[in-house]
Amino acid sequence: MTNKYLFDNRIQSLTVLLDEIIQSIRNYYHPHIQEDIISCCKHALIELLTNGIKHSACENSTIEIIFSLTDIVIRKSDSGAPFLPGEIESWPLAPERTGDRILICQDDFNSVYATVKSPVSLFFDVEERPIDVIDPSSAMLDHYGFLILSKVSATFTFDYNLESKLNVFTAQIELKN
Amino acid sequence: MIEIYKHENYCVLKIGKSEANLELADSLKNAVSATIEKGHIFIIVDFKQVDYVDSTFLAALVSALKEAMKHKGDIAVARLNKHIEHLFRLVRMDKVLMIFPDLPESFTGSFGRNSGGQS
Repeated sequence: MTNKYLFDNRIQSLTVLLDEIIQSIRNYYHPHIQEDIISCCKHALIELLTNGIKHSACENSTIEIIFSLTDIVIRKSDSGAPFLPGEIESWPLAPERTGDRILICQDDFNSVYATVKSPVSLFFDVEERPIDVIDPSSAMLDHYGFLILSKVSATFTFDYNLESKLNVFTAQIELKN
Repeated sequence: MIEIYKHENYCVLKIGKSEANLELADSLKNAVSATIEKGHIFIIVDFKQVDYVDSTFLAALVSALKEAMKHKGDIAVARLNKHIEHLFRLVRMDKVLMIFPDLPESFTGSFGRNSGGQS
């Protein structure tokens, strides 16, 4: 089953939509869903909706929730400015870049990478470093949202649709750890 | 939005909204700077009224912690709901910010920072 929602990319609308989607997830899996999974869905939705507010530069984003017995897929699409992280300047990428691992951002404790899956898609992952000493003068992570999305999801990906010019972010959250 | 008051030997920054998000991030940084300027370097951010936190607010919290550390101070957080505490542990914020289940009698900083706070 798939539920589809239209988000107007306004911060005032975020909480209402968030509550509506979380309630639909609770209803679908009732009573067999753990609170940790609900938390992961909530954090992923907050970051995807906030991404729409901050970066999409268009009127609406579409949120799809795809329910299955093994996982919940949360997909956000928008037709705003193309997502161009790190060193990426335009889509599509050269085919020979498939497999390249690109550093998106880093701070004292985390590095967020995107691996090129195809000329129009990326897979995100996080590399953690030990937290021994906090340096007050060191750089801040400028994409905490990607850190959160990568951590709450079994897989977190981006696809750019060349025909429709849609940015599509997909977070797959497993029902059992 | 953010109420500042003295409590025992530290200052409390009480978030007066249910959403700690990008709208409130700058207010937090300003409130921390103002508190430190007045000489209060130990600060606890009270999340009792907060339902959710976004990444922009988290980044502001880390930025505020670094500001406090530059002045030999520290920042902790208190009264997180279970979803927010789950997020803090997931992104390892519990390793850099002490987490209190309630406002403590005393807060003088860094003990316990590397062992995940006191929750």
